[in-house]
Amino acid sequence: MSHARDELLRIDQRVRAAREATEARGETFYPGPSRVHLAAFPPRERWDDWTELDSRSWPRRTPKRYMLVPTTCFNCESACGLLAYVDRETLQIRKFEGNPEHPGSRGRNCAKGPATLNQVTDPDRVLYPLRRAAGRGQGRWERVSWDEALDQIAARIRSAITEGRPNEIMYHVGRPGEDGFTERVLAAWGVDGHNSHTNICSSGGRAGYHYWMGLDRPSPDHANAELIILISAHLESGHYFNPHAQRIVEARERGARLVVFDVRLSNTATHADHWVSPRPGSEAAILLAIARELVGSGRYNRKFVERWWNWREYLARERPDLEPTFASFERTFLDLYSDYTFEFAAAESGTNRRQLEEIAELVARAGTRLSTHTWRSAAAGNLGGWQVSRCLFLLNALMGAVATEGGVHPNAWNKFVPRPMYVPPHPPAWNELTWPAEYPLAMNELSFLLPHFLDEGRGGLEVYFTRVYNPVWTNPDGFRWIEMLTDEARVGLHIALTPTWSETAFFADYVLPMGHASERHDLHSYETHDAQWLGFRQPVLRTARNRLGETVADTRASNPGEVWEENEFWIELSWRIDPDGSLGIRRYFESQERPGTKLGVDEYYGWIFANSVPGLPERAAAEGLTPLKWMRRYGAYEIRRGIGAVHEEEVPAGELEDVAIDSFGRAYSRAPLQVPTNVVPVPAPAPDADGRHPVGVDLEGTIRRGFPTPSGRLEFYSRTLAEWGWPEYAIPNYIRSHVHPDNLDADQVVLIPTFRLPVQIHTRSANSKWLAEIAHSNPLWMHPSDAERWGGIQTGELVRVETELGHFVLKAWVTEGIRPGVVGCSHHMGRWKPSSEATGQRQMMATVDLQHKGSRWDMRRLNGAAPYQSSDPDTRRIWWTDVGVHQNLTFGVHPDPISGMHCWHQAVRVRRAEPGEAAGDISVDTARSREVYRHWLDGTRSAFQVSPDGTRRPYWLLRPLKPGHDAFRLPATSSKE
Amino acid sequence: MELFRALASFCEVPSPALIRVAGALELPVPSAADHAELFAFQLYPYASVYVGSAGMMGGEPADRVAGFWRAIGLTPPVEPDHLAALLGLYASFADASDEQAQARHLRHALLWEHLLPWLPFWLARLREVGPPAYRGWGELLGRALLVEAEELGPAATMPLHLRLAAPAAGLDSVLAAGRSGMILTRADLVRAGRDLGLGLRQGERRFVLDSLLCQDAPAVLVWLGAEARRSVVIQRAMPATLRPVTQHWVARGEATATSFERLVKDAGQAYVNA
Repeated sequence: MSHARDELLRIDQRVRAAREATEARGETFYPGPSRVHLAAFPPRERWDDWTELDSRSWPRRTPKRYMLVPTTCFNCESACGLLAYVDRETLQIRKFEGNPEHPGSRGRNCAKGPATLNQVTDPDRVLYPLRRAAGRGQGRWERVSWDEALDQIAARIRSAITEGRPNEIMYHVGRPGEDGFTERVLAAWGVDGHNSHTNICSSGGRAGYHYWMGLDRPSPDHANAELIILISAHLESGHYFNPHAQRIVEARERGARLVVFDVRLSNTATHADHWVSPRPGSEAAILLAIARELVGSGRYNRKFVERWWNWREYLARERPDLEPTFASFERTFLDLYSDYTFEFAAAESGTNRRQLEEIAELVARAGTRLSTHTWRSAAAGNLGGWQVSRCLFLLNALMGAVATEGGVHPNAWNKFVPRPMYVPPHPPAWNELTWPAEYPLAMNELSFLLPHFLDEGRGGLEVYFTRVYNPVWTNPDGFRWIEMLTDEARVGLHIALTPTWSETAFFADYVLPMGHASERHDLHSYETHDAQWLGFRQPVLRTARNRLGETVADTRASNPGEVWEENEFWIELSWRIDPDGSLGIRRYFESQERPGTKLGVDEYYGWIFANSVPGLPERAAAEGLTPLKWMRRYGAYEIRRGIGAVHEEEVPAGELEDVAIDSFGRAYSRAPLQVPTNVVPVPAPAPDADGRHPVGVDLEGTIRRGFPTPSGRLEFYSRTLAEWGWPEYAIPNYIRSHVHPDNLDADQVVLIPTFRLPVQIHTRSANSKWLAEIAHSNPLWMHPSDAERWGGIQTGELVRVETELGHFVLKAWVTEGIRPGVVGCSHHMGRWKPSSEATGQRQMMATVDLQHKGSRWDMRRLNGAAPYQSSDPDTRRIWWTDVGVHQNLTFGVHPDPISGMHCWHQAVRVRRAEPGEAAGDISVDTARSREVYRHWLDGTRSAFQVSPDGTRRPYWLLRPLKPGHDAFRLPATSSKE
Repeated sequence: MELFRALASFCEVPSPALIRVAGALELPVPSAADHAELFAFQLYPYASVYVGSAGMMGGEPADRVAGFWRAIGLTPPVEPDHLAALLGLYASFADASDEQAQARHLRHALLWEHLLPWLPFWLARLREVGPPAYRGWGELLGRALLVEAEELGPAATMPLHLRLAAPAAGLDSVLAAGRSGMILTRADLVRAGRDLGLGLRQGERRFVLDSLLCQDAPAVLVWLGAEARRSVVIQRAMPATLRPVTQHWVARGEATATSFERLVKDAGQAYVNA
């Protein structure tokens, strides 16, 4: 046997040597796909020339040669890796699969990734620049050259800038592109014109996290958790669906427990060990009861809380009568939350007390391996929803499950935004159309109030870009948007930058074709787990042509039609605004390699990868590649893994100079600030009275990094909220929702419109036939007991849902998968186009008759989806007619007075549809929408009333595009006056 | 141990990259047709097919293997009992064996609980019915398993898969190898048809066997009994190192042979009596 063993060892050594030699060449030794290493992907050294059998030739075995080019999905925020299979003969993309080199998605995709092919081959897509040839919204278009479009747009922007009207330029973004790119473009123009969709999306969730830890997103380490608590249908519809879902599944396979709070029995809830279906908006009450139990029973991380919470500050400011000891704080905590018993929480939320107790027990047992997450859902649905994320994070903060393995990390620690070659200064302007004084603490721009602000004469727009955004359809109160967009006195020039037709593009002056995932450049980095990675979206065919030896200087040459890659567009536009450089704009868009010429995307990204991504140049050099070529080849790079507890890191001596420590341990230093390569947005806590900047926290004589909050600690107590007019919410608390039972009439129920199905991509679902085939209707979920009391409504019957503004008609779906007293209707459905719109999209859009008289709008469906002949044979196979209902048109605006988040949930009445009504019918009175707007505005506390220091907004808070310090000063008189 | 990883890669559909691995092992490169013939038609590469109660993939045996993956803190792959996955896992244990006693323990458990209960017999059948291109691979894998069994020592108890294998129950269990003691391949059924002069209908194994029985049940029962005896001979020729496992197979093969012989005899007597 010894001889046999020796012989086997010789073979083993031979194989090992062969493997090492192969891998030293950067190649893969073992074949893929393979179960041996769970590698289900082509070996990366063969991405240039990969052969598969052509499925269309079946049953003949016809080999097909591909070039595999990585890019990044554009169909939600997760930025998962894709691998485009480019046919080497035709240079057409044949399919998209996962990119195994991507650290976030690890080669896996949800249905939306492969469906990118639908968008690329969409026969209805916008391929050329178009200009309206009649009145806005009349549906007549003419093709123009990019030069014509750019010259007119640039001239109007230049006029606005040179005439001192910078606030009349606005860029309104839907699906985000490259981290910080457009913010820098606007900063270079000196314009505070960034407008995001975030206040109809996630700003409620963000606010709760921001007040705790200074950073506005959680980065849960689901894969290593013992207990995962999700307040949402997160596995299927939240950000980051695919990267998080796969890690949650792994944790569950390992034995982790899953708790889901969701009014509906969502797909996610079906996976849960505990499904809790609370009354909408009562979640915070439950979380506070759990918190109280943890502290009351002493089963929380006392050492962590004592070390990292700003409890000293709380006692000093709010309870100076008490001894400043932790024991004193502990007693106070229990007093503060003494009302939050499990009995109260169960009664308030309509849930089972014993179940809540069991969940508290699970939290106590999970220790520092408690992973929690909420994003939209309750935080986006309710007045005070931002307290839901704040109370959820309270559990992490109590257990010390912050930046631990299996805990929740602050997002900026798990994200890497590389410094570009140019970083323009903060713009000197403040735009009150997006950051009005009534909302000094809003997390993001009050984007959805724009029509009302223009109506009130708060300003006007010379140039308004909607960029992959469809506010008419996505925002609440969509008819007000149509009223705004059709008024040329209010919106001078509307440019829709979009790959597809949309309800908003119909009302544009220019529709300019932008690219899908495989047609544009972007850098992305998201907090999918405890690591930092960088994903590179790139125009696939441009890279494919480069690999074949061609030079492509302008991406339009390789994209379909005249679809442009966005960075090149902004660089070109900026040059035309400032052709001679006299405005000081052009210098931010000039080549460093060839001064005086335009910056190209190869130079732009080549510089970033070579200078701002630690480790990438070395990694690329090991394979004989430049950093840019390496990223073009693999599409993603992991900078660091296992970042861990940054707050515990000792601040290096080099950053400490003339250090001063305040009475709560906040450390300030005069050492010059380091210029980081990672320019991920972080807050800017104020300097001390002598101008030293905050550098960390003094803990037992050692200065540690701490959190980017004013106190440097986790802020149980927010001095910011206390000082800016909301002292009653300075600590985590429960705010009764606008749809709390006390606020409903006897015949009203709550409508939850905040969920969606996992195959939907906002507007662009309608351009993805495969996805629309899976889901193309959004019926009204109702519990059988509700259906019974409304007269025995059956599934499929038409019902009318009456909101504050009007009503919509849709089919009923009677199901026990929703709580009694609540109805649900998914968003991302109900696309439509007016019958006057001859050009444009045929796929998955209803054709409607739109009537407008005074403030009354009526929409009646003429046609649903139907098969049709096109370049895509699949369009002849559309077998359904339903496209869902566009419920958002009937919703008034509900801005939360603190976070600014639109509170989506609606108090509605449901009844059988009237004879003659049809699915998709909508009726709205926009006069009523003005009343709703004013009602919610009355709940605000303006900066003019509450600002403690004469500024518009706390400077330390995050803001997507932050103006310079001077712009923060409040003007002498209120704009409201 | 790289050897097991390299051997595992032969269970996957051959690709150009396999040329490198085969070169290092000094083995021929099988074609895609060879691969399909062996793994898709003759000898399915799943433990559950051979140790389960129905001779089919999945079920409780696959769950037991998945449980092993979980018990050691790994996420089970989609096919936890696939030969490639098991050998890949074994290789990862063998890599760490010098440093970690625990890894040696795991290696022993994986070898005796999930590989040796079925793989030596499977490899023996490969020598008979497998494509020539895979025979060298099978021979090398068999040698490697044997060396490992010697190195790690015997199992204290009969592997759980075999302990839980229900007794054979006549024709119902003939395709469940762990119960009947015989691995009946498609090639065997073709041979039966040829030897017995019966028509062969294409289909899965149970369908083919049923069709043969419909044509001449006594002859087919005699043939099955002989096959069971032949399996016993194969098992008895296995090295002594594998005895805890071969004892099970021998016992099951003999029981099956005896039951078919008795069935034929009883049927013949019944015919005479009638």
